[in-house]
Amino acid sequence: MSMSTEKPLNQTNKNTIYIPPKRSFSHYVKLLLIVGVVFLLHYWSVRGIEVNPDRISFERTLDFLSRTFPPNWEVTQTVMGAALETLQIAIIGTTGGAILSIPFGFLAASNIVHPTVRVCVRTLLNTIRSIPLILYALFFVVAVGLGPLAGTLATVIYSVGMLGKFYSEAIEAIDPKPVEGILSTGASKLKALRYGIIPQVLPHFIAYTFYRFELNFREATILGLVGAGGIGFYITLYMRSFEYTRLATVTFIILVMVVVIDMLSSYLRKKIT
Amino acid sequence: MTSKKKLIKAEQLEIVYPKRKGSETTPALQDISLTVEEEEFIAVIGKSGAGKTTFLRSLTGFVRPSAGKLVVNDIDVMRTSKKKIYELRRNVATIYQSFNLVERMTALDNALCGRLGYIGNIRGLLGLFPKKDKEFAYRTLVDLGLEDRVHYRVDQLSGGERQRVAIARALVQQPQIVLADEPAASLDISLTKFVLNTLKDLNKQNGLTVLVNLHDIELAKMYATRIIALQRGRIVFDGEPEKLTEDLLEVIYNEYEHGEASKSNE
Repeated sequence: MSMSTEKPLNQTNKNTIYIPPKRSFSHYVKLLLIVGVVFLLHYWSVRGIEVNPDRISFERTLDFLSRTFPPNWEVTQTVMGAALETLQIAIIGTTGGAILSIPFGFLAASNIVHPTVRVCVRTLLNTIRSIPLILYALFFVVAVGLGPLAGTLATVIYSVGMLGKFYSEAIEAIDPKPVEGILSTGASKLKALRYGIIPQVLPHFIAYTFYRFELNFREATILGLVGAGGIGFYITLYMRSFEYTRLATVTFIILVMVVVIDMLSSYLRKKIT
Repeated sequence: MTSKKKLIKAEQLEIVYPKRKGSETTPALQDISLTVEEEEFIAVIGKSGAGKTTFLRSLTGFVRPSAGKLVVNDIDVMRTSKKKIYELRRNVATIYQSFNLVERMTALDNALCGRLGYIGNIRGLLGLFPKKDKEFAYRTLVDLGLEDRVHYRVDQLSGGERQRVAIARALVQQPQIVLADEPAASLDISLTKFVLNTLKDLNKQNGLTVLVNLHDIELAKMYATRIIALQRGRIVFDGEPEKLTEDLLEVIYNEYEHGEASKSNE
């Protein structure tokens, strides 16, 4: 319609005949095969999870929700205490994880270490990441006993899996020129690391750490389910004793804290980079 | 005249970069033999790819020669320890075309990096520079006309200001030799002249030896006491600027163009 799209079209050779792309028979066979596999996969999954339309009842859901209302604010003080414990777990878990991730980050960066070392450290970080937080929590509950220490240690290890990888990627993305600039003054490699590499990666490290802190607070809310400290304990407690109005209070407090932490953290991240 | 110290001695120097897949290995530098005495101001000319940068980087051990002999400041660059290389780089400062400064640090902190070769690892890592080093770096920046930019972060400075910070870092090293790799390529002509005048003054007043890569032959003639012309990794001229006659230049220029033309026709 507009002039800008019409003009170049007018300039093309009108005698050129349009030839559509050729699609072979095997192209359609492949397409059919993919559709078939995706369908079978979903059929198998739906069978497995026993989808029963009778059980998805609007009334029952409404009934449950009505029993959570109004939230019981009497437990606010108790729940807030546990919520702050979750926050403490997230703070120490993130800082601990960040500190541990620094050496891992350097050892997984291709421009710092030999490829063999890099592959080994990357594999280790991938392994750490592939295990869910709750399993680390279970392990530490056995190792150091019930309570927030177990949850904190679980968060530390779990954070290293992601932060180590992100840190190493930040290190790999640095500009090598300032590093040569520092080396050209006669500085040792260690000093070149301090003056050439650290100033370049530090803002990224801090931003990733804040992001990890947001995730850690959210994920730490479930640590209490296995006795690893924090607000999660009250989720299971009130759920099992059918005290849904108290559960609503817990949910509300988590919601508010997550929103506030996310806002603060993303504001700070923007400030840094 | 005869008692002048020989700072750089190169004999039959050859540099071959490691072979890459699908490309032939042609030496970046070949058959380079020369001596540089103290207080010389040398311009290395030649078109890009002629080996100018490789030559400068080899002098401070950033590129390892594959054959020949290279002695800089009495240190055999090809067979020496890491520690000696650090010592060598401290005395042979480099100024880069793209400045190679740390963007997120201030001008002063960048200039102070010139002292890193003089202090221990612990002090260096903690940033504990002696007070006289800080004052020296500060004064150097002021002398280069950066008095109101000292505490600015480098990423807030203009190209000309950045190059002056880079010069300051080199001077703070208190070097005997300054290598400048196309120091003016990213600057306009007045800034270019400022940079070259600064180097020339240091050369005349402080006896600093200067080796500068330039692609501009007019500038080379204007500033240098000796010109070395490189072509495809070989020295094609080495002598006083006056001896680089119009005829000779014509030949070099034409040869450049021939080289260019035959390459693009391949």
